[in-house]
Amino acid sequence: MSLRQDALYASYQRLERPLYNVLFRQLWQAEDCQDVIHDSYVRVWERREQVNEATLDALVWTTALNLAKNKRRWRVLRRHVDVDDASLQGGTDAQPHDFLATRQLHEALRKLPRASQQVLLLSEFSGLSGDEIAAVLGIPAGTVASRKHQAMERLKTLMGATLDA
Amino acid sequence: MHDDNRLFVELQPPAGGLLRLQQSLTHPHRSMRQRGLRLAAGFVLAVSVLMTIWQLPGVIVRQQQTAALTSALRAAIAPPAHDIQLIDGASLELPSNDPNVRLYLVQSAGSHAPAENH
Repeated sequence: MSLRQDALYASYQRLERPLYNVLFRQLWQAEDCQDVIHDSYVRVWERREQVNEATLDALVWTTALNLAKNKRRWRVLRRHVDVDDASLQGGTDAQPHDFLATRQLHEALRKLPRASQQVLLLSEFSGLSGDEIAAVLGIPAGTVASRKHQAMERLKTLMGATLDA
Repeated sequence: MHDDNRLFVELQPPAGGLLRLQQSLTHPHRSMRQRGLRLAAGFVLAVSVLMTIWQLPGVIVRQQQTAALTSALRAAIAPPAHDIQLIDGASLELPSNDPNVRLYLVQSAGSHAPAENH
């Protein structure tokens, strides 16, 4: 059981975009997202002797979410402003008219409980099944669906409130 | 979920991520060297902090002792009063039971010449 380099690169090409989309909604800094994705794969590669290629993607997801959590903790310690107007542009292809919606989404997502937020983002972007999301987050499979539903309803309410404001 | 909302705009990650990963994996010695340098710098910093913490109480005590000695010496060589001038010597005021009587121990510097009083 050892991870091959081409398998790692294939995983990177497969997961880079979904990882970026999930992480960006947590970190709101493009550069930080890139660093977390990169560092996740480097860490997985450093443990390649113990990595099973069949569970590689799940391991990368878990590692990336943990690194993102650590980065948020560092930001709290350093009193870092976790978002600025420039970073809200998101990716290289973000359009100017997306800016307002992104800002409103950011405000609404911040008000969601962290657990619900992660379930919602993983459901939206990861392409993982409910069971796989449960495994990545370490929660019961049944909890995923309920949290996802609650998070979506709450988000819609918050977005409505934001739009009305 | 995708059909009933347009909340989540699909973002495109910045280019060059895979290339960066490939470079990191094909040149691990570079990151290892950087990590080694960081570890060495951290070690030096930690040792410096520990040495400072270890030395600090002694330094403070020595400074306090020096300050006490300096103030005692200054008190010893200070002129005894405005109406008495001491030339080429030192004096130390001694306790007196009578408020109208002041006692001084006077020591001339170098010679045995007596102190001059005004």
